[in-house]
Amino acid sequence: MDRFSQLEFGEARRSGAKAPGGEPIRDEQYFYKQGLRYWLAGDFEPALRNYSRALEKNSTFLEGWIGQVLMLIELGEYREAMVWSDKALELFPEHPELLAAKAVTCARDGRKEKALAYSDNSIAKDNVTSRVWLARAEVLLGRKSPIAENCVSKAISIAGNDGPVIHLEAGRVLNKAGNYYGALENLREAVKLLPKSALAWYELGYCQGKLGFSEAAAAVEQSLKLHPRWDIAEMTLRRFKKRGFFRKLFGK
Amino acid sequence: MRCARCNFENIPDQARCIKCGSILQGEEERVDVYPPRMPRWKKPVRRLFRWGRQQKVVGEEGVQLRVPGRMKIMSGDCFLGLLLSIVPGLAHLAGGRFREIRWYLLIWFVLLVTGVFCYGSGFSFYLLALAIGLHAWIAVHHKLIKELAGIGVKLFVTAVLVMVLILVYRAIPRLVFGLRGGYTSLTVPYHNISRGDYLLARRRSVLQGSIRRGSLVLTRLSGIIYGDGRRMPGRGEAMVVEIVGLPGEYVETKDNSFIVDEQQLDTKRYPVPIWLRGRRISVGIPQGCYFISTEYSIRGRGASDEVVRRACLVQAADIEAVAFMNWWPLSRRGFIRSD
Repeated sequence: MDRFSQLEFGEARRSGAKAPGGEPIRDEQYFYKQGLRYWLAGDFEPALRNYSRALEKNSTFLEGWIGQVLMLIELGEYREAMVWSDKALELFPEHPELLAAKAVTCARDGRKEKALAYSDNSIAKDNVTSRVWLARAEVLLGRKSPIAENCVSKAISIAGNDGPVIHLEAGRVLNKAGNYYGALENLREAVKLLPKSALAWYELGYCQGKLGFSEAAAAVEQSLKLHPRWDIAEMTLRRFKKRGFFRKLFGK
Repeated sequence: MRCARCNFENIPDQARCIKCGSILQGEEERVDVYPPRMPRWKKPVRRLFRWGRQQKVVGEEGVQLRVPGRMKIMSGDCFLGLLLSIVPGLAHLAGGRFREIRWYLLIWFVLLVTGVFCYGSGFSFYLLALAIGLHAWIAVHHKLIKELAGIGVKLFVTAVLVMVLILVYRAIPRLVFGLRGGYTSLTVPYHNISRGDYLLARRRSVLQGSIRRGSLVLTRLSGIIYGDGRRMPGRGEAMVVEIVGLPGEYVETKDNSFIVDEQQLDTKRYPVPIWLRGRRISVGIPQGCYFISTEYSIRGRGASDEVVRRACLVQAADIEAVAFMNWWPLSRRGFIRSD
């Protein structure tokens, strides 16, 4: 199953299963979609809560486990993400996406050797998904490997229905590694496909800001329109507005 | 039942996929679906370690403490373990039992640091007493407490250990840093010092012979008056006094000021103590002695000049250290001007 195939991107909500009264059935899919929506809005804490609720409904729901681990990573709780991915791996042994999530956790926590080992392990499995390739890209970018960008291209090429989210993720990975030109292309694609994602707009604005583009502030403002009072976006916007000529010139 | 991961068709009611081992349906016991969360205070600590790993200051597995083999053997013995516990927690660390006492060690450290920071104030003594008590407990907790039988023996041994540790705590600043300390009964506006302040002093300065006029020195005196109700040292305790006259000089008091070799001294820097005010004295300072200014309890106004002379002159050998810092109260904390 495509992880994001049931996500409604931006347009009017076409809810899935509904109870006879018209209310959506609050099953694991419902909470999972809620979690995804929160993630796309850059609200990682409620996203994590929704994934947990999805698992409350059905503890064998793999996407919920993966979502939880990814949210813990987003929140910078790497040790907890490791514990949780280990727990998920007990239920889904050797699952490549969980191994990839562990690789990302290690890479962000400064454990490069372990990250590479987990990434090697995940990539060796069958049915390798886009996310596994993106994790590989992130690990290799951390080691300044020239083949990292090939992994990003591979992830995008096999994305299928997950294309919009994978573009966004690829942009974020490249942004984090400081490859802003590579990120810009993906993030432009992502905002085209996910126009109501505050996270996509913010990442685009951040990337443009780093490149010294004048549109940066507008993109961050757009993300603030979609997600008002978003601390990180407000802070970035303030920083953009305070920048002097030389900083704009050198993209600092 | 089809596996969502590998699409393998399993036998109905199977809990896990035969092919890939993935879970197929909720197991009987309830799975905890709420992940552990990081306490907020850990965030900066982890960030620091992450930075360390990125800069290769810290290994990927964190800080690995290697305890020498000899120390490990020592920690296994009851008495030697106690000896190692002079450094709190060292015996536990060597024996691989550090986790047992880590919180006690943290509390000990906080008590010690706070006690030292406020040293000279009344409550600092309570904090340090608690730190010593905790240190003693950590030391006996290592092995001794299990070896001893009977609560009386345990308490006795702990009390003896507390006594030993009090001596150790008193000796460390003296032996390691050469530090002394004492209260002053003088108010010296020039140095921003008031009666009852606790001053730190260095022994080294005395040995180097850096005693000058205006130096605040630590010496042992008797007959000190205790003016303002704050805690002051008992008779015979070390006390900070001010050097006014040097060996061979001639000191007089006139109009509430000191006159040394017919030159009047600044009253803000060399204030005349209360008991000398309104009294005219003149003293020739013999070799090997200093004329000091401090508050004394000279009984009655009719004390003879000889008594005054004896009260104001100290032997060079009685001077223990030279004060260099006003430590307590915090509002007046700072180094003493040496010009």
